[in-house]
Amino acid sequence: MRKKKFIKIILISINIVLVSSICGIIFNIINPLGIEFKLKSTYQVPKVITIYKKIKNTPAQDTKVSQDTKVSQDTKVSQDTKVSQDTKVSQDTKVSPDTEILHNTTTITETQPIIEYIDLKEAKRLFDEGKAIFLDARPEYRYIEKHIKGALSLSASRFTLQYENVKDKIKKDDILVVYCSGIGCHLSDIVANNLKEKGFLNLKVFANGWESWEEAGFPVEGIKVK
Amino acid sequence: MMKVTKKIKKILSNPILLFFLRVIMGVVFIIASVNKIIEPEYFKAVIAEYKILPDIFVPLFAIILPWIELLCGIMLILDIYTQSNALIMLGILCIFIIGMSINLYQGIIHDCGCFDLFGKEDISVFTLLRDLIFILLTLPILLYSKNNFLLKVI
Repeated sequence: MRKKKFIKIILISINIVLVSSICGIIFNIINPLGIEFKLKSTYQVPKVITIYKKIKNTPAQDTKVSQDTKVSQDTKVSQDTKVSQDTKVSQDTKVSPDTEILHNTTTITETQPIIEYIDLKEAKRLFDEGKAIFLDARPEYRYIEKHIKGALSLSASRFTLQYENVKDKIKKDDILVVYCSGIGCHLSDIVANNLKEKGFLNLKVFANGWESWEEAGFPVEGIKVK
Repeated sequence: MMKVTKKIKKILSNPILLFFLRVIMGVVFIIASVNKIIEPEYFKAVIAEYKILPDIFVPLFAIILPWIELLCGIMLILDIYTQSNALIMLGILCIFIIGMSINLYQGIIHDCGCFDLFGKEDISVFTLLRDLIFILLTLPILLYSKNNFLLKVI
C-alpha cells in the first residue's frame, strides 16, 4: 500500500515537471529575451600551436623583418604569415642599408608574445579608435549584467568552451584588450596567458578593469544598463 | 524511544505547522523563481558556472527549472499534490547542495543563483546551510501531508 502511494507521488511529480517544462519552453519561445538553443556541443580539442621567434639584440621597432612575412609590433617574428601594421617588407622590396634583413645578422631564439599592461586612458584611446577588441574575463553572468560596450565574453572559468564561440570573431593579429573587475583581479591575466598560448600576438591587459571604466562613465551595455 | 518518536511525529504532522511550512517553502520557491524567469540568460550563465551539467543541457535546465520552482511554490501554498511538490523541491535542493559543495570544495566561488530578487550572492557555507535548512523544512511536508488535488489553503 505504502509502495503504491510512493509510486503515485513520483508519477505525479514527473507530471508536474513535464507541465512546468512545457510552460518554460513556451514562455522561452514567446519571450524576446529567451535563451537560444544550441544543439551541438561547442567543445573541440585545440590543434594548432604556433611558435614565434624573437630577434635578439633588436634595434628600433621599425627595423624588424621576418624571413617570409609576418612581424608583430615589438620584438616578435613569426616564420610564416603576415607583417603587422607598419613593418611589412616583402622579399622583392628594397631595404635600406641601416634596415637590412636581421635574420642575417642576429641570433633567433624561440619565445612568445609579451602581454602589455595598459591603464584606463590607453584603454579608452583604443576603444575610441576602434582598433581593439575588448574581452571580458569575468564570469559570463557578470558580463551579461554589464560590460564594456562591444566587449566579448571570454571568462577565465569557462575559457575552453567560450573560446570556441569567440575564436571566429578575433584574429591572431588583432589588438585584444582583456579586462576583469579591477586591480587585484587576476582573471584577465589568466585569459591573456591562455590567448598567448593560442598564438595571439597583440595582447593587452586593462589592469584597472571594469570598475574604473564604469566609474569613469565610459560606454557600457548589458541587461542592467538602463 | 517509541514514545519520543511518536511525540515528534505528532508535532511534525500538526496541520498548523504543516500549513506554515508549506507557505514558507512555497514563498521561498516563488521568490527564487521570479528573477530566473525574468533574466534567463543570466541564470543560464550561473548554471554554466556550476559545471555540474554538460554544456548542451545548460540552456534547457535554465529554461525549465524556474518554472518548476514557480509551479511547485504555487501548488504547495494551495495544497495541491503537496507531497509530489515537496519531493520535487527536495530534488532541486539536493542538486543545488551537490553543485555548491563540489564548487566550494574546489575553491570555485561564483554567483549562487538562489534569490536574485534580493541581490546577488556568491556560493558559500551560508548558502549551503540555508539549503540544508530548507530540506529540513520540506521533509515534514513530504512525510506528513496529503497528496490530493484539493484547492484549499488550510
